Formats: sequence, C-alpha cells, structure tokens
Amino acid sequence: MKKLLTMFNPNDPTPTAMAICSQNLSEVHILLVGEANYTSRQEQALERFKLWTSGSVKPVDFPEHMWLPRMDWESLLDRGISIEFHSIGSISEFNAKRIGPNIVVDFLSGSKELSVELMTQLNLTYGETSSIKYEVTQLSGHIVNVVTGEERAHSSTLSIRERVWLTAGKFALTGKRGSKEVGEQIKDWGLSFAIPKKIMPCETDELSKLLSDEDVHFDFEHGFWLEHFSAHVIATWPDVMESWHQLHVFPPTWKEFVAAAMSKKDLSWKYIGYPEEGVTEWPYGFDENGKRLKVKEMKKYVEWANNDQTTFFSNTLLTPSQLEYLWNFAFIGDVDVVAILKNGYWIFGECKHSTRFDGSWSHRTLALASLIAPRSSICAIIQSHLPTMKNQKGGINILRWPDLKNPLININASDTRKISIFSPRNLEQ
Amino acid sequence: MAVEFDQVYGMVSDSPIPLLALIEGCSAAKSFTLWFTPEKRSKVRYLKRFFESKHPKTKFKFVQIPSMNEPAKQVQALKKEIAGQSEGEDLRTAVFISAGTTTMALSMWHHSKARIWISLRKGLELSVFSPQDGQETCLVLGGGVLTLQQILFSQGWIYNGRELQHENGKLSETIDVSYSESTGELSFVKNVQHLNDSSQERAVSFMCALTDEFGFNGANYEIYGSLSKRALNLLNDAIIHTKGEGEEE
Repeated sequence: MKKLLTMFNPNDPTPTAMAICSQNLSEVHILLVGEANYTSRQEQALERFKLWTSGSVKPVDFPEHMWLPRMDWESLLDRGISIEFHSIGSISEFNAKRIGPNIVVDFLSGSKELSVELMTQLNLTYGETSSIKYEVTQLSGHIVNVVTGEERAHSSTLSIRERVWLTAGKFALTGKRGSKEVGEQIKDWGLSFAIPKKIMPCETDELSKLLSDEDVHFDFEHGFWLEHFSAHVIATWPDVMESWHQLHVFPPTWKEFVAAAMSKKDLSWKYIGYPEEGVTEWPYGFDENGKRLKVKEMKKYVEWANNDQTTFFSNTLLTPSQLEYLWNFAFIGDVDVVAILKNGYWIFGECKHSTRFDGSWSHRTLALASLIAPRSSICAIIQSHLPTMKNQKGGINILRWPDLKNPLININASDTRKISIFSPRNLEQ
Repeated sequence: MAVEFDQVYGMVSDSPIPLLALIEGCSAAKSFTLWFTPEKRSKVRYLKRFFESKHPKTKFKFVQIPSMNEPAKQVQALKKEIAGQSEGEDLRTAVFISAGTTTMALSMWHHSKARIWISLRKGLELSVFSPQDGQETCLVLGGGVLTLQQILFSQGWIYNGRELQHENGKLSETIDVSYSESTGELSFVKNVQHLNDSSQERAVSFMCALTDEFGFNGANYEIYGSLSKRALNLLNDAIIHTKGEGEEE
C-alpha cells in the first residue's frame, strides 16, 4: 500500500492538510524540517494542524454542552489515516529508507528548495526508476505528477470551515449550500420594476419555493432572499467549487465567544434565560436601597460581566434552539455569501436589497476577506440599485443581482488574467 | 568566481530581481532558457531587450509554456522542450529554482537531469548547490552589478527621480523609488500626506498595481501618511502603512 510523504508548512498548515485530503492514503509521514527553530507563531500553526487532524477544534475550556456537534469534522483516525511526524534539522537528516520506496510524495507543502532537495535525496536513495510518485496537489484539488504530467482528480478537499481554522485559527459555520440545479432554474428569473430604484424579482411566490427546500417564505422587500438567490446562482459559475449562503466566523476562545454573543444588541437575554442582575455576586457594593453601586471604570464592569456570563453558560444547559440562537450571535465576522473557486480564490459577497447604495457596506466583507484570504479573495456587493460596475469601487466589486447569471460578468474566474480585473489594480478609474 | 554552465533553465516571475541576479551571477553561462506563461507574456519583450543589450554574447531563449491554470500541460511542455534541447548532448546544466511554482521547479529539475540547482538568498546571494555531493558555492553579487534604473528598465519602467512611469505611458505617479545594492532590496514609498480622499485611493490602487507588477515579495512597498477608511480597505498585505509625523494614532 502506498504511503504519503509530505512536508509541514509552518507558516500556513492549510497546504499540508490539503495534500493529506487530496491523496487520501492511510499512512502519512510528515517532515517537520527545522522544528527546533520554529517561532511561537509557527508552533501555534503546528498546534492548529494537530487539532485539525483530531476532527474537533473545541478548546479544552469550552463546555461540551455549549459546543455544536456540527462544528466538528471527521478525524483523520476515523478516516483511516494515521500520521507520523518526523522532526529533522534538515532534509539530509531524513532517513528515507525507514519508510520504504512505496511512497507518493506530495510537494504542495514546503519550500521549493526543500522540495528539490527531498526529490534528489529520494532519487539518490532509491534510484530514479523507483516506484516513487512525485506529485503536487493543485489548489483546484487536482493532483499533477511533476514527472509525467499526468493529472488525476483528488479524493477530497478541505471544507470552508477547515480552511478558516487552518489559515486563521477561528471557528466558522456556513449556512445552506448553494445548489447548481436550483441556480440554473432561477438565474434568468423575470424582473419587476414596480418599485422605483430597486430591481425586484417577479413571481415571488414561485421563487420563494425554489430558494429554500424548507418551509421558508421570504419577504422580498428585504434582502434575505437575495442571500439564498446569490449562493444558488454563484454555484452555476464554471469555476466555483462550492458556494454557501452565509459564513459566520467565531472567536477561538470560550471567553471571547461569550463576549461576542452577549455584546450583540439584538440578542435577547430573556430568551436564553440569563438574568439581568447576573448570576454571581456583585463585587462593587450596594447603596442604601440595595441597588448596585456603579463602577467608574468600564473595564472592571466588562470584566465582571464576562466572568458572570461565562459562569452562567458553563453551568446552564440550554435547549437546542437556545443553543442555536446563541451561536447565531457569537460571530465576530460574517458575510452573506461565500464561494471557493477552482484556483483557490475566495468570493465574499454582501447582499443588499435596497433603493440606495452605501459605500460603508463593504467594510465587514473586506475585513473578513483580509482575515481569511488576504491575497486571494474577490469581494462583491450584490445589490438591487446600481448597475454592475466594471471597475472596483473602494476595493469592492458592485454587482447588480440579475447580472449574477453571467459568471463574474462573463469572466472565467480561474484565468488569472481575467481575475486581475477584480483586483484593485485598475489605475484608470 | 565565475560559474560556467552550458545552459541554465529558469522561469520568468513577477519579481525581476531573482532573474536579473541569476543572469548577472551566472554571466559566464553560454545560454539561458527562460520559460514564461501567458500571464507573464507582457514582461518578455522588456526582459529580452535588457538581457540581450547587456550580455550580447550570451544566448537567451524565451519559451512560452501553458498557463498557470494548466499545470499538467506545463509539465508536459517542459518535458518535451527540455528533451528536445538537450538531446544527445552532455551539457553542464543548472536549474534556477527561486522563480516559478513548485510544480514548474520540480519538473524542470527532474527533466533537465541537471546536477546543480541555483537559488537566491537574501542580500543578492546566489547559492549554487550540488545535492549529489552536498557542495555549495555562494556567489555574492557586488555593488554596481545591478542599478535601480536597470531593474526598472528590465520591466519597462522609467523613474525620473520623482515620477515612476511605464513605457506604455499609461501608469504614472509621484513616488520615491530606491534600490539597496547591499541588500538587493527594491523599495517603493508613496507619501499620501496632504492628499484628498480620492487621491489617496488612487495612490493605494497604484501601490497595489506595483505589487502585482513587481511581485508580493519582490520589493518593499510603503505608504506614508494617514489614509481614509476607504483607502485603508484597499491596502493589501504586502504594503506597509506608516503614519506621518504628528499624525494621530
């Protein structure tokens, strides 16, 4: 049986994980080259990677009853994959004979210098005619043999949640996946111009039934329908591997998670059963009427409140609907639509079904893009008011929703020459 | 020490300095075969003009290979081209691995049957490495081997001390451009103090275009002075933003 040999990338563990998924071999050997000299950031990356292999990134102090099981993914052990790490100072220290010649080497992860050095060492050890396969998993998920040029499909690739964890160290949840089939049915939907300055779809009852297989009736005055519409239609674009309605990104610690949820103004404390007075003793005294004395320093109040709230949630068993409700508010970043292209680029979309356009809408999309995929993302506002603009405005693409039927305005997005139109490089605007 | 090769294989990438350093460091080589993808086609005529005028006795061959989006076809093209070039000859060949993707570098290395690879380290130091015997030779390019104007000219840019302009005449902006001969670092610094919001956005956009042109890691990019929120959103990771003196944090 073939074994996989790959190198760990301490600057971003995503390629290492991607190679493991795409090759799907049961025995994996990972070289940690120069581990003794890893910086603390690189050590953290290794810890993130090890948690990824376990299938759950739940922090130790995060209460089990507050965790959503769907946040987890299948561990490598459950997939039948075992990992052995080899910590070495340099490639020349690696004794390739230990694992035998029956190997596939995937070079997606690791520097070019180390890759060439490893290839040479394996050739010297086993001879160039050995059965070793030298391959590189491409961002598209395909695997290319660097000797023969043969290409084959990957076994599996990373989910968006896994990618967000590996790259940014944050938890992520997606909403409903965009369906190519539904997208094909709705992308040429008829338009209504009954409302000035706002393009509406016609026959909304029929559209509503197609947009969600659950019994959801969309209010077409507001923008929620557009999020689902966009996820489905974007799924029809030839370069899109997957698209989703909504991406929520959560902080990676229990305390921050509680603070993020409880700081949202719309969250109803009553619904989750959190009492206004809190559950722990007020440490800053009371007046003669038994009312709490106010604390001058806001920081002290925030600290007490956060401790009180984490105590409450640590000791309270919420109902499943209360738990889902809380998670709905605990995000620190969110976008309405997210998609991954075959070339590894991300699309982040904000949907606005409005009679006006506000440039500030782009801020959270751009912020999330810079967190998750700073070098390889396309941000767009999908809206009903302005015509689609060829040039970016403020780092964002402005698309009118009926134009989604054309893949990125007739652009084959995996062609980097065309993608450049969407990068902030157009100097003639 | 001059390193003599019959031929050297390399890739054309966004950043000009690795390739320029290779040609200068291995100027005793008889020929260079430089592969490029359609995405880099626009750079070739400037590079060709520059190399051929600076090293008229050396042979430079630019060969197009398939797009970045077709890595399997790239491997097949490299395999075929290299086999055709070195057929029946026992050439002293080296492969430059500091430019291009891993797929390209490994494919070049394998098919060329080269015994030497060359890589670029910081401070314009070329490492010439023979993995079979572990021997490494370091070539440090001295001052004056590359100048700022040469680097820019090799990419079709001209700097008059104030404005940076592309030869096609479209792209121009006031900017400080410098090159450190000791570290081999190219730097672009744009001062946006006293610019209005729309000029700031244009300046940031220009700097982002430079990162595309000279590569994310190919130069230092800095914007000096406060930026509006909209302009800040345009910044990419490669650009360092520093506030001007007396400006609030």
